[in-house]
This record gives sequence, C-alpha cells and structure tokens, in this order.
Amino acid sequence: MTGEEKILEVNDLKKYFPIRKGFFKRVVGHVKAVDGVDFTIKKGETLGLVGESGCGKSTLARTVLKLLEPTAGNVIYNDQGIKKDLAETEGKELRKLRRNIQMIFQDPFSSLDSRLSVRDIVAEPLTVQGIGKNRKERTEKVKELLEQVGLNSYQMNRYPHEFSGGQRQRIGVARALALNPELIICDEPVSALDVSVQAQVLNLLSDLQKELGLTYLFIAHDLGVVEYISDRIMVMYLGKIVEVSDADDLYESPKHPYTEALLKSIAAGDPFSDKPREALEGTVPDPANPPSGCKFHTRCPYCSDLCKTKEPDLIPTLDDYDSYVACHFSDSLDLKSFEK
Amino acid sequence: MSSSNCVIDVKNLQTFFNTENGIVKAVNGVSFSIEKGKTLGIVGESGCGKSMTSMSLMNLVPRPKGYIAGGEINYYYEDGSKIDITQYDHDSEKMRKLRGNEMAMIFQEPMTSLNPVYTVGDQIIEAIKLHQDYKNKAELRSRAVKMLKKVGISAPESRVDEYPHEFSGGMRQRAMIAMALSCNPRLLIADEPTTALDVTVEAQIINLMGDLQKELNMAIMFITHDLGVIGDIADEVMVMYTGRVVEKSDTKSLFSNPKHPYTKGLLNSRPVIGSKKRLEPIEGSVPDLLHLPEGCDFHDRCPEAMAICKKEDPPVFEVEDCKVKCWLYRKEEKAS
Ligand SMILES: Nc1ncnc2c1ncn2[C@@H]1O[C@H](COP(=O)(O)OP(=O)(O)O)[C@@H](O)[C@H]1O
Ligand SMILES: Nc1ncnc2c1ncn2[C@@H]1O[C@H](COP(=O)(O)OP(=O)(O)O)[C@@H](O)[C@H]1O
Ligand code: SF4
Ligand SMILES: [Mg+2]
Ligand SMILES: [Mg+2]
Repeated sequence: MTGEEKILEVNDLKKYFPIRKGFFKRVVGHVKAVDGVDFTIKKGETLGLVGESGCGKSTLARTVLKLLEPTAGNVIYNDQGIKKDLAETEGKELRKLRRNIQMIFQDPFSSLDSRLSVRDIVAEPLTVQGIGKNRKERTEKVKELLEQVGLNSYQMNRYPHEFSGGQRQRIGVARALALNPELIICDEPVSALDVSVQAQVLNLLSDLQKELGLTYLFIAHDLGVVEYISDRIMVMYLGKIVEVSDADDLYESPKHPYTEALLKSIAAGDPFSDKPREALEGTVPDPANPPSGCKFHTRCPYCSDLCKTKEPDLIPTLDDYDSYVACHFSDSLDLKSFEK
Repeated sequence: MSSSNCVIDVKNLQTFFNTENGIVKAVNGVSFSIEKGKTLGIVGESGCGKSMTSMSLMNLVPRPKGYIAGGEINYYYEDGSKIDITQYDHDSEKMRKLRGNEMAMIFQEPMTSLNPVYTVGDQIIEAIKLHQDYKNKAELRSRAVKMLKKVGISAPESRVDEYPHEFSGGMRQRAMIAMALSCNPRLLIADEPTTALDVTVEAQIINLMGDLQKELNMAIMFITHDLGVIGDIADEVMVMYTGRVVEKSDTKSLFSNPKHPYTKGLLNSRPVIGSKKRLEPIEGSVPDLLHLPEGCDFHDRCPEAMAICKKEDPPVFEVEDCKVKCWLYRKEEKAS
C-alpha cells in the first residue's frame, strides 16, 4: 500500500510567533512553536503526529499548508514529479498547489459561516477554484461528495447546527475531498467526538484512503487513535520532532524517553491488569522560554549533564533506516514498551 | 441495599426539563448506590443524562426549567442517619451544609468552579471557611498552601497568590480538586474531570484521586466517556443511554462479558493498542430525547434487535449479578 515515492518533504521548518509588549508593541521575544522540523510523507501512507497540547502540532500543520507564513524552511511538494516549494510559492501558483493538499479540523464549523447551507459549504472550494461550469454542475458534485461520506444528499439545504457532531465531521471530510486532493492534513478530527462516532469517522477515513489512494498527516493526542490509523508516527515535544518510527515499533520499542513517558501514562483500560499508571511529572515548559540543551531534559528521568547543554539532533536509529530519534543516549537506554 | 458502608443510595431518580417542545426526561428512573472507598463509573455517549444525574445529587439541577420529578436520593451521614436530598430546597441550610461538608464535585472545565477575579488561595480559603470554624488568617493561608501541596502543585507558597489564568490546564484541575477536597468530602462527584486533558496530565490527576481516596476513604462517582479510564479505576460501572441505566455490573464482568448490545458497541468502538482489528462502531447517533423510538430506545441502532424490541420497552433483567435492560435476557429471567 505504502509506496516509496515521497509526496511531501519538510526541511528545517520554523514558525516563530513574536511576543509584543508595551505601548509600542515592541517585540520582546518569540514563541518558537515550530522550531526546525524535518520529515517526509510517502504517497499513500498515514503519518501520525502526537504530542501534548501546546507542543506545536496545529502550528506545524498550518505552516505546512502555508496558512501561516513560515519563519524559515522548505515544504517541498511533489507535483506529479515536479518538486515545488510551498514556502516559496505565492498567489495563483500557490492556490493551484493547494488543491492537492486539504485540511480537516477538529470542528469544521467553528471557523465557518453558520449561515451557509451544507451545499454552499461543500461547494465553496469548487467556486473558489473555478471548478464546474455552473451552479448546477457544482451542486451535482456536492451531492456526489455527500453520498461518498455517508450522508444523504437531500440534507444539503440544511444548516450546520441541524447536524450532529459526527455528521458535521463528515461534511468537513466532503469539503476536503471536493478538489480531489492527494494529501489531507487531519488536525484532531475525532478528538471532540464520542467513541462510537469517533469509530465511524475513523473507518470512513480509512475507507476513503483505500478508495481514493489518499495520503494523510493525522494529528491526535489520543495514543490509541493514532496507533490505529497510522503507518508511521512522529512524536513532537516543544516545537521539535523527537522520534519518528513505524507505528508498531513505537509502542513495542520506543527510542525516546518522552515516548516512553507517554506510553507509561496511558490507561491500561483493563480491569484485570494491575499495571500502575506512571505519570510524567511536571508540565510542558513555556515555548517562549524553552530549556537549554535537550528540551525534554527538565522532565527526563535519564537526564545527564550533556543533555542540559547540548541539543541532540534527530538522527536515524541503528536498527531501522526509516526511524529517527533525538536523544543523546537512545542507543544505551533500555526503554519500556507499552504494556497493559 | 443500604449497608452500613453506604454513602449514597439513589432510587428511581427522575430529572426532567420543561421545554417549549415538551418534557425532556434527562434522567429517567436511575437507581444506584455507592459505598465508602468505592468508585462507581458512569459511561455513555453525550446527552445520555450523566451530568444531570450528578447535578441532581448536588441538588443543583438548572432552574427553573429543570427539576427533580421523582425518586429518592438518600445521603447517609457518618453516624448512620440519612437525608433525602430530593426533599430539600437547593439553597436550604441543610443542602448548603451537605455540599460544604459532605460532598464535593469537580468538572471538566475547572473555570466553572474557579472565579477568575480571586487568587487560587483566597478561593480555597473560602471553601475551608465554609465548613470549619473561623481561624486566623495565617492559619487559613497555611491550610490552603497545604492543600495545594497535597494535590501536587510545586512551589505552593508562591502559587497560592496567583490567579487561575496563571495556571496551566492541569494545574487548574488540581486547584479545583484542592478546593473540592478541602472539606474532606465523603462523596466526590467527578464529571469528566480529565476529558480535556493530555494523557500525561490525566495520569497525574487519576493517580492523585486514587491516593486521596485511599487516604480519606471517599466514595467516588466518576463520569467519563472513556472506557479506558473506567477499566482502571471503577469498582462498578453503570452504562447510561437516553437517561436510563441499560447495564450495571462490576467492572471486570463489564469488560470480560459485556451484556447489553450498547455496552458491547461502546467497547468495540474503542481502538485498542496492539490490535489492528477494524473498529466496529455503533451505527447512527443518540436519538433526540423528545423523539424516542417506540419500544427499546436503542433498537434502531442495535445489531441484535428482535421483533419485540420495536414494540415494547424492555424491563431490567438480572443476569449473573448484573442488571441489563434488554430483551435478549428475557429467557434467563424465566429460568431463574
Ligand atoms: N497565533 C499565535 N500567536 C502566538 N502564539 C501562538 C499562536 N498560535 C499558537 N501559538 C503558540 O504556539 C504554541 C503551539 O501551539 P499549537 O500549534 O496550537 O499546539 P498544539 O496544536 O500542539 O496544541 C503554543 O504555545 C501556542 O500558545
Ligand atoms: N438546560 C436544559 N434544558 C433542556 N434540556 C436539557 C438541559 N440541560 C440538559 N438537557 C437535556 O438533558 C439531557 C442529558 O444531558 P446531560 O446530563 O448533560 O448529558 P451527558 O452529561 O450525559 O452528556 C440532554 O440530552 C439534554 O437534551
Ligand atoms: S432490547 Fe433489543 S434493541 Fe434493545 S438493546 Fe436489547 S436487543 Fe437491542
Ligand atoms: Mg492543536
Ligand atoms: Mg456531561
């Protein structure tokens, strides 16, 4: 299923938000929300992205799509064999590229005009991109899209508030599919849903992936959800990727102490298990004032002097050409796998 | 049912709302009891009446639309005497004492119980004053610091003077717990206290609640839609659907041998780490409480529905120490 062809290549991507203070709104510092991120996405795969809230997942997603102007770095999109850097692209050319990469949000309607009917919401990208000869043709396309995501097309003249959370997420998916994208960035699409509806949406997304050959970048903070949907997973901490790994390997043999800490804090979810739930102490440091050296050192149980001064690079691990870790001691640590 | 360890005993509780379109039966005949040191978990999709059950226990159902329409909520004091909460006005002296001294509640959103204009310390002090004789200011302050320390807030001596907005989400949740626990409650009602939190912070809070439960021998009613958390902390589980209890059993049997099709649906919808098995969601969504289907409320989503399910509302059957509201268990009832 997963080809080796790279569809997106992100190099040293940064997004800093200025912190302004005082009457003249002088810049007194920066929130380094995304601070030098590298990764690639292969055609047809689902790449998961996890990390605690505030670590920069949404900012990374928006910067990749250039909804936010990157501070530095490249976002190379493979447009049928021709590599184009989204970071360097503007105007009409950017709009054209954006057809290929769409986004699904946690609540697809929080940012939309609730006065628009479902038909207009789903048709909007078509209208913006000038696709379809006329209104009628676009309406036909909308009907087709709604059926594809499991909604009845006769509901298309209704308004968002008339739908349940799960149905609204389906509408968000229909809208994202309108332009036949190759890559969809899903930013916590099921986090706000009940478990039953969450399962419906997860199944829909994997069915659509098979049917249409889609590629996903899937953001979640639920480690069960991300394991279920992903082929590979990236773990993010304070604006940096600390580990990239095959999904199964990540849970069976974590390479970064932060990954291990996340796994230990998962509820076993099994009344027969007496596995203690070990909490990672402390909270994520302020990204405006991150720790020196390894950003995780203030919470890391394996921290030594080197960690406090020198920041580790994200480098390939010994046993797998396709996994990476950013820890000085990952080779010598014997980290625990996830167990129930 | 009400042994000497019983803290709360709820019988056939009905909590309704008067709306323009009719009476919404948010809680419709719910019964349960919780003993000292035990945790009852309540699960179900949103809108199934979990929060209204807990608001009823606190006698804080939103007025004037909402009201307790029937049933009993018996609270047992340490000395064995009891009070039926449904018989008292929500701001009667008795109720206020009960909320200040005996039971406390924590919510998903800590800002619903923290006031943004007062420091965290002042709010904890207010809570302490409510139920204990006035002590001098320094003493109260040191008690507040102690509470913050107890819930694992670092540098409590300086944090005590900060405002809620200066706290992170997890710290606010801890501050709220500190406030709730400052009266050493015998019953703690936790309404999705970790739903909005990261797994790391959730683990901290759950561990904290477990430690405090051991120390104070509290009864806990823990509401969540996360079955994973339930599996870890609850002794007994009550599954709610459309304001009714559809299954009640001890946690181990609920996981190893779920009986109600809705319970099975919830368990099969859940991604389990290490299993790549395709999820089996429950089809459809929770019906509008004003337009419930004929027969069993769950029948049009139920993969096991039979002819009778479409016509008649099932009663509660007792099966192997569990209670199940489902026609599938009718035969076993006859046999016993
Ligand atoms: N528009 C913005 N201006 C300033 N800071 C921001 C902005 N958006 C996000 N941030 C900050 O960037 C960091 C990362 O945020 P975000 O990407 O939303 O994290 P996540 O999605 O992982 O929860 C946070 O500290 C957040 O406060
Ligand atoms: N203020 C209100 N007015 C009318 N109906 C309400 C009100 N609050 C809650 N309800 C109804 O009560 C039902 C149960 O709500 P709630 O107890 O909050 O559910 P849960 O906590 O399980 O998500 C909901 O379906 C809702 O329709
Ligand atoms: S009574 Fe019938 S419809 Fe209701 S849950 Fe049981 S089998 Fe399903
Ligand atoms: Mg986010
Ligand atoms: Mg609720």
